[in-house]
Amino acid sequence: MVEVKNWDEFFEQTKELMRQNPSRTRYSIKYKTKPGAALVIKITDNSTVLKFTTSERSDLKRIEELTGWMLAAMTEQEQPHA
Amino acid sequence: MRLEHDGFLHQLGKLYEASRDTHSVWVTLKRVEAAALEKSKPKGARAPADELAAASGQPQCLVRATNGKRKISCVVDAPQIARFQLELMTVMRANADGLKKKPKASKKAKLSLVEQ
Repeated sequence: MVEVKNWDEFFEQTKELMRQNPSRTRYSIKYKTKPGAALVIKITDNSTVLKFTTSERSDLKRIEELTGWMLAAMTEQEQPHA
Repeated sequence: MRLEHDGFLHQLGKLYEASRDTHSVWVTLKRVEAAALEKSKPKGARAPADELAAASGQPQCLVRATNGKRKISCVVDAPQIARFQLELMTVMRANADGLKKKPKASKKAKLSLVEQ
């Protein structure tokens, strides 16, 4: 379990994981309300886990970008793009 | 329960509302090959949105959501991702309203709520 604090780093590592193992990598967004509202992003391929936590509303923009990238990567026939 | 896009997004909104202050809500995305999807299709579930894409073997994205009690899912394929992403984020944005609104610069600042 790796808790990544820096978003850019997190995004890069996510891409790398997806490139290595596109069919097994899954991506989850958890919205929790306790103790405080927060979004927890988790990426895993069953051996590596990347986690990013935020309680900032502005991070929704980043999550949107990541979600778009992941959707594209997951529906692509070939290897995910850079 | 496998749903169409619109149904899924609608139910996702309801899931967020029903879980407000009580449960966490997970949204999970994973790649899925059409063949595997066909096998695991639950009884009584509606067919995937696009049968053509399913037949061509193009990988699709399975989107699942749960609050620990109810489970819903839908399948997104390549031509639909842009629209789906937009609508998914709209639902999330509307429901993740407990998040702090103070923008930028203060990732760890606990003051943001007070300042507003």
